[in-house]
Amino acid sequence: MAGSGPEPVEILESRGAERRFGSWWRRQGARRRLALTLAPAALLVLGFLVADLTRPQPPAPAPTAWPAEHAAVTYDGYDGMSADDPSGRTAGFLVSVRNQDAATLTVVQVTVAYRGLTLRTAPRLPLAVQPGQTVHIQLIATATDCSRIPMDDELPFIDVTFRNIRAIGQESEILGDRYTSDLHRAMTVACRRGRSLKSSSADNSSIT
Amino acid sequence: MRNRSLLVLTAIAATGTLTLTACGSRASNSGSGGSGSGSTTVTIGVDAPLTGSLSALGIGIQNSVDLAVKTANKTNEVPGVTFKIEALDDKAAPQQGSLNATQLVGDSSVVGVVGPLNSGVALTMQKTFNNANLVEVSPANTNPALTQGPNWQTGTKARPFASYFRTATTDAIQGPFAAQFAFSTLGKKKVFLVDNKDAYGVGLVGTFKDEFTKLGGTVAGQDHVTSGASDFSSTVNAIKSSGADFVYFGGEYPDAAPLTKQLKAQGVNIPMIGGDGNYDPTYIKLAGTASNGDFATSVGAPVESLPSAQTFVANYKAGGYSQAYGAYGGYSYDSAWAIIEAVKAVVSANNGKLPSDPRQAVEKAMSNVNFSGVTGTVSFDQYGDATNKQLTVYGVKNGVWTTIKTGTFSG
Repeated sequence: MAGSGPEPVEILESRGAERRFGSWWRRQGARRRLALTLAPAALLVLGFLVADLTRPQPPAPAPTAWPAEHAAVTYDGYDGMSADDPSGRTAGFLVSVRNQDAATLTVVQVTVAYRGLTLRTAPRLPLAVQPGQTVHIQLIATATDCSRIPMDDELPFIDVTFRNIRAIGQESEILGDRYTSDLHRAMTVACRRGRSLKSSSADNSSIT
Repeated sequence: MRNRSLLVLTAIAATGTLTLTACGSRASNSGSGGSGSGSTTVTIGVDAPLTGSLSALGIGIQNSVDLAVKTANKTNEVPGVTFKIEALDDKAAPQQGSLNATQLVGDSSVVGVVGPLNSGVALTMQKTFNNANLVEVSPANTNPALTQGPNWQTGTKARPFASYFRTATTDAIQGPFAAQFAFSTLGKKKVFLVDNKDAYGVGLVGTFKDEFTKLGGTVAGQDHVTSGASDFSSTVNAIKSSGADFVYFGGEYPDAAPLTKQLKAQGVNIPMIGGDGNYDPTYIKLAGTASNGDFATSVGAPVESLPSAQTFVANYKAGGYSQAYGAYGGYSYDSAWAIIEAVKAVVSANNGKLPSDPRQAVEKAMSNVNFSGVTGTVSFDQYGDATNKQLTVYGVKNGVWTTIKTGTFSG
């Protein structure tokens, strides 16, 4: 309906059009002429604004996750009592760490909260894990003070410290019922200075 | 001529207005979208305390579901289906929750419900929903019995209701994790236990106590408070005379905050440790400086730290919600999205159309839901529990909750 109105659309010679426009323009008041002069500029600015706001933005770079968020730690099983420890107080447990991030992840440290237990690992840490890779770590636990090792708690965990290019952070890994059962059985044996232990989840091979 | 000039000016004004309107819509992210003509509109119900002392948590749940619904409509997540939200206030009262469950079941457009906040409320809703095959996904219930039955602690796990799911981690993990933290990390040996007599508080204290004593800790005393009370002096006196080196509280912040405040006011400067019911900024607001040094565990990892949650956090902010998404926001969004995913699967399996009564099919589809959500991968195990089990210990430092450590259950 924009073309319909009191004055029909005309196809005019250009000079005639100029004359008609000049005549029409002079009839406008000063304020209206100012408004009409500024309007195209305002439209242009609005147009730029719209173009800028609706322009597809380049995708933001993928954030590098806090290290623990893309690390999957799973319990693989019991690894037997250590033949290298004559006191018979050392047992092994196997865990896997999978790096689900796009950046290299480093396993910096693994600890247990029990004050009567010391822990070392094989291989030694720190250990770099490439994106998409899984590494297997042997946790070698030695009972040093059996009075400070609970034998029937339900949620023992290990604290794993991870590092990536963004941060370093620790996460408690609650490895579940199988780990709990294996840990209790192994520590029961270790604290009795016993050497025979049947695993609930793996063979009874010795740590070398 | 006058008309022509007016026409020009009107066109300019209209163009400008339309342009600015377009900018506004984009910034507020509030468009509900819609899937065009011929679409079926279904409802995602919400049940949470929207008024009363726990409303800060409840409104965070409601808003987060609202955001999920708007997002699904905007992206036309399920072609031919438009989602809307119906939020009911349960006032944290089991009786009101029961009435709300009946109301939601009675609305045939409701295909799933997100909520409730309180485990005690959930216990009164489960059967009603289950009889109607109406899926219920709680972002906050932590009582293990809701999914694993009343004998879960003796190792006899049996799922009581097939329609019940949750995205939150349970107290079977939360209580023991807190006990391990208190005993091993903080080196605390004597606890005074306090609960608020409801299902959540009693259950949480039970799981904490069990693990703490197994670790070698001792219980110096135990008491119960009445929710909504303002004078906790008898409990404070009992704690004071017990010689406990910390308090473990099972309940929510409206009771926990005045208790810790009155405790410290009596010169008993020992920390209070609580569960997810304590983890809210209102706890600090109510307790003031007395809250410094207190701790709380809560479900999940801190949303702000999750790469998967960045879009949610940004969209929630852009959505202009006046209340924070709170402790359960990410889990509420994921709960709603799980229902949307189930609806999508039902539509896909039915030649692109939603069946006239989709509830049973949605319930069945929930078991296979698996997507990358705000809080990580979202899926459910054979009990209806979330497979992603994370939780975090927070501590109050200088008047703000600060992350102490996060734990992940992978067993």
